[in-house]
Amino acid sequence: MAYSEDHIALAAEYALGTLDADERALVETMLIVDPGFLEIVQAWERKLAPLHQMVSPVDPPAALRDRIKSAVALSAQPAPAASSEGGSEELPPADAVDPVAQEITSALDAASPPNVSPPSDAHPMEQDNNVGPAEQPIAPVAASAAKSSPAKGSGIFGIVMSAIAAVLAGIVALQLYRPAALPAALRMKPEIRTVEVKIPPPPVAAQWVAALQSDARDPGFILTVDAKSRRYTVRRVGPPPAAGKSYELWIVPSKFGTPHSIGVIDGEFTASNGLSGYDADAVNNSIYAVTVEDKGGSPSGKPTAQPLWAGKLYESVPSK
Amino acid sequence: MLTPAELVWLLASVARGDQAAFEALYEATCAKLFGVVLRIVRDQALAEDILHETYVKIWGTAAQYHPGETSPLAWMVAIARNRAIDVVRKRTDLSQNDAAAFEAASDTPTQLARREMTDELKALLECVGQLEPDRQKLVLLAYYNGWSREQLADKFNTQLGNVKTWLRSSLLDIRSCLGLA
Repeated sequence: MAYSEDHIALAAEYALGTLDADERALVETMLIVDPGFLEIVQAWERKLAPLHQMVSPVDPPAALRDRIKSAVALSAQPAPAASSEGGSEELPPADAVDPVAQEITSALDAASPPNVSPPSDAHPMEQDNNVGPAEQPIAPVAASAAKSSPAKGSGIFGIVMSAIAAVLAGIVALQLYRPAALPAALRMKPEIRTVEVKIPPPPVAAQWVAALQSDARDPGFILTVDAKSRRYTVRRVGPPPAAGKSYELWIVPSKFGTPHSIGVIDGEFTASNGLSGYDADAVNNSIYAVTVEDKGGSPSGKPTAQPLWAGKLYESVPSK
Repeated sequence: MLTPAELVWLLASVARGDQAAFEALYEATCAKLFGVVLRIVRDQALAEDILHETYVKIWGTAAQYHPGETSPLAWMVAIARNRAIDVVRKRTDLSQNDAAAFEAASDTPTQLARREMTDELKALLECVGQLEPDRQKLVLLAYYNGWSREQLADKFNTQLGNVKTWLRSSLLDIRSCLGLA
């Protein structure tokens, strides 16, 4: 598929970070359904990424490391380490440890903490990584940094280096964030996104689709409903349900607001007649939501958890 | 700082569920990622939360890293930046003024000698350097501070529409300068 300059600019602005929340959600929806667009965004992320080399490291608090470590250890437990060797990896004898691993680990130990020490000639105020007094006169820092830059005098390179020095030194007064003036069409509630997904031809009857998403960040589910037969199919885009859990799909008619289960959708691809009892109006005007329930679905017929994904149907292939 | 090759090795081990490798990876990269995130969110507690989420995501998705495509640190920074920007765009209540204090604290440009820069960075800076000075600043403020178009419009004292146009033309210029498809 060929992408217009509009697409490319949108991808670039997403990677740069200048889009507002609604536009980012829109792009993130496109990323789920359009691998070609995902590639363009990733190419931009790669091209811009080297800029990070100019950002000074800041040591996070040590307590954070423990918090992250235990979160990761917790998530590691249920997964029985899909190790290629298999067998008893739990208590490896010391000499079984990969020598490269040991080398790296000891190198780390020797040099810890890595890359966090400020340059020895740092200005005193730079040494406080946490909070500095507001309105510090920081322009001199920028000036001296620019002056001492080795790129000084190398033409364009020198100019861009000074620009970076100025930006990084933050000589700019900060402004309060103001919400964008967006077209009304884009002002959707963040938790409910509607997206058009192209259904492959031939169009036999009207097709309705919904992308069921959380905050437009997690890939969720793509729901397709055949208007005539009311048969629906769900494609799971995200990860399978956790062990002992099931994804359950609910229809939430806007009139009543009480969710009714229309099936458990654990497979990567689920097709069902669960909507056959609903009239066209209900099918088209309801919200569809997915909750995580115990294996096999909620026994009471009512959701036991908040929906994690939701969306509305959108007509993608109109009826003739 | 570990070399990119060492980081690739660590990420590969992390992808296999190696917690020791994860710790080593964290030690080697957390200060860089925290620096990036803190610049954008300007709030210590929030930056810590984002760093937490970032590393949990790195732990979960390390297998998706492809060494041929990008450097490991760049891959990790992209995850952290995306998360940070998502958060600041949704948190309209974040007072950016409060955080002005951070400007002074954490922000001195790293004194990278030109020979220490990667070829990718040199190529990118050459292209950014070909933009008009104001456009250079626009792109760099957006990248480093994570500013939205609105914030950039305020800073440059201009209409939102102008910022959109400038961003678009600057990015497309960078694209053709880099020879991107």
